[in-house]
Amino acid sequence: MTDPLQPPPPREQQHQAPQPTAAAAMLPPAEQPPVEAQERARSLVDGEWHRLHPATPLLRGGLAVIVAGFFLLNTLRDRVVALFLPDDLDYDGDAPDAIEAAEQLARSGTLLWVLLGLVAVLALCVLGFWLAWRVHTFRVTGDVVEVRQGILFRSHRRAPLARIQGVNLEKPWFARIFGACKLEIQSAGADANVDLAYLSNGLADALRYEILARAAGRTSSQQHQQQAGSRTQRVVDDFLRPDAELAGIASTSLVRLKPSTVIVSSLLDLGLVIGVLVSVAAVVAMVVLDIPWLLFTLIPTVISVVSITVRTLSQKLRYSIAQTPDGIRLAYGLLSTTTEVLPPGRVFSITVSQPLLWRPMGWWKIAFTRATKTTDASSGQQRQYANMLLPVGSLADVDTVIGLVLPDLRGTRLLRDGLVGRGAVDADAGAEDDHAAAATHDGFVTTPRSARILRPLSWRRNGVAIGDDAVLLRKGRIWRSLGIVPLARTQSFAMHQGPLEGALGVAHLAVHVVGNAFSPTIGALAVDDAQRAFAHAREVVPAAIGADTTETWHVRESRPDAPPTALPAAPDPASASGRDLRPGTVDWSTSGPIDGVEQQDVTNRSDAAGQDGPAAQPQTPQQPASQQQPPQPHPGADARGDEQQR
Amino acid sequence: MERIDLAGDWRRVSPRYAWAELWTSAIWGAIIAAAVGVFLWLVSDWDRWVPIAIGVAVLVFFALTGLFGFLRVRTIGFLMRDDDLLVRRGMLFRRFVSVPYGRMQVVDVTQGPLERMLDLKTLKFVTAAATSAVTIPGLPGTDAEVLRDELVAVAESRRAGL
Repeated sequence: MTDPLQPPPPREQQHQAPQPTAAAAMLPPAEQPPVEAQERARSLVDGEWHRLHPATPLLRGGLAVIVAGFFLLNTLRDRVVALFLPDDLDYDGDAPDAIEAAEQLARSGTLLWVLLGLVAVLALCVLGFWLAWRVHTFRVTGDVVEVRQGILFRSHRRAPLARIQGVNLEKPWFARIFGACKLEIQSAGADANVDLAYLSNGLADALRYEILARAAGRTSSQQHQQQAGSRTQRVVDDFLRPDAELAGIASTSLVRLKPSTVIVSSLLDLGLVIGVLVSVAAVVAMVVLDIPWLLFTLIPTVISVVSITVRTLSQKLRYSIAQTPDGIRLAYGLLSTTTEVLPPGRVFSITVSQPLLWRPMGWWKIAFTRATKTTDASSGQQRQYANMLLPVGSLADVDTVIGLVLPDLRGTRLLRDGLVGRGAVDADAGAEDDHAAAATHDGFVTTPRSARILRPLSWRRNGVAIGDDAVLLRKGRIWRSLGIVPLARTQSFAMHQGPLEGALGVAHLAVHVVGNAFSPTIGALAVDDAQRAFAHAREVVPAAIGADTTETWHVRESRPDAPPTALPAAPDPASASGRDLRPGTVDWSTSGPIDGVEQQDVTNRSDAAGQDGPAAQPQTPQQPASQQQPPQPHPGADARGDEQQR
Repeated sequence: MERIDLAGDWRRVSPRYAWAELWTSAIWGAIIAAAVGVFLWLVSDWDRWVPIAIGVAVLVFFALTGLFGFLRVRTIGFLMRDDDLLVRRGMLFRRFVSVPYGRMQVVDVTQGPLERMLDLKTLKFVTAAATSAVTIPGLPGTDAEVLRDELVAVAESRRAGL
């Protein structure tokens, strides 16, 4: 278990972090000050194996087993007791009978054995649970997280931290009672998550920040110094107010939902309204035509609709999205809460849309796709919901949220046109081939007038624009929507044309992204425009991919071209503004007191280059390729040694 | 009629690939024609020639589709540029796909029995997006392997994340 490479910790730290015996490390933080939890979280990432919260077996189904066992025992009690009794005794479970039965058993000497048997079964269960808990261990080394579990069927999962797609903190209501929660480290792919279930709240929270810090290539102490005050606060308040950590975040990078908005928007669902109308019609028909059996078909529908509405409502009511130094923080859930952190570059496509009934209120919603796919049957509803960046919000909220993902798009005319633009008005009066002029007016290349039969209502709006950072696909006049794909997240893109499209002189474009069964597509573009857009995309997409640094935090920092600065610098505005801000876009780094993601990255790089962090060490002649190789634990352990000695 | 097209020095695939398509479609045509014919013969009380005629019609349809392949194979092409691989195919339904090299996850080279007889191979470029579907069929001899190694080498130098 002990890493031989690890140097002994210095003296002053020994009292804070003694070789953490697992049980001590996992005590609920309610019994200890949160600062300790923080220290322990740091001790958890020391590359040693650690165990989970002691209540884990109970929370992971043990509770259900016990309840079911009691239920079964209660129902079958009489049968079981009768099994041990002589045949002549007529036992039916009444109290005098039971006493008599016990006496009988005592006389025959079986009572002892029955009781012993019961105790043995119980002991076996407890032993099983205890063993399962004991072998279920995890460790976080410099660049990987590993989980081992299982007695008969063993499994050992190892995931590189640089590949993290997001970190979730899930708190089901029953686990909240125990002050425990589930830390879910998401990787791309189907069921590729590493679950640490369950950890105590404060610990999981601190551990999450440690993991994200390591994924970002920061050393632990840096992270600690930068955020000492605020993180202590976070750990304390986790019990009192789940969203306390949002307190320090400026409103320019934070969106919370008003309960009234959420409730009204949920009720304004078109399906729900139609359902209510149909139900009312059915009730009227029932009364007027005297067919009472209609009620039986109606009631289950109403029950299911109400339950679904209430469930989604309970998640939306406490919904927030915010920018934190580690990425986008999403939190939702009323009883069972979930807090997700999506590191930069983990949002693969965005769809902003406006349901018809929301239009008078000017509300929008934002969905997104991610690389993680979880087929968790028990919480399928939640999974589905977690693909919303914003369940409902005004245009300003949409702008803020888009700004979290694509800072350079925030507040631009292009985004606004994409959302509410009607296309070039000039096209109305103009000649047939006016779309070229339209493109100059609006930024979007739209459907030509000659092909308006394909988009009879929305042809002026239907169009595509390739911005500096993203492709924008604008659609729909009645149901308005805007698809946004960051250029750096594009896998490939295609231009299609069928025979009918050929006859009309149009073609359609598709952008292929991860985690989406249907590619974002825009149809009915003039052949010239489609070809021009395609050619343009072929120039800018590879460039954007090459320039992208969000995906590979870790590797990026070990690139030789990282500027070596002499000092382990504090966040330096000069270096941050040195990144290539494109002209004509909002400078995100000055728009709020919280560091923008990109800016944070830049600072990290110079920090890492300046210190002997894990990244700056010449572990291997590391080229970007090494991100897919199994990472070696040693550099991480060494790095930690450095850090402790410092 | 205005069709999309991109000028360039397209590398075409072997015209022999049309034979593979023809045979594939002929075999499937025969199977489906037989199945349809036998099914109709069993469930209906028509004269014997009706199911036979329908079966023949199915077979002819598939044969025509296969013959069409001789035209279609001429539209399949690919182009390696500095930063991306461009693949085109289709005559009526045209499709141009551009994949930046860095997006490569896997390159497959496959060969079915018909292709083996014709000494052809199919190369498949897999990205993380399920919808990319970049395939180059009908590569003769060792072309597929050469192309694969070329693609892997160039992807290695431009590796990107997801």
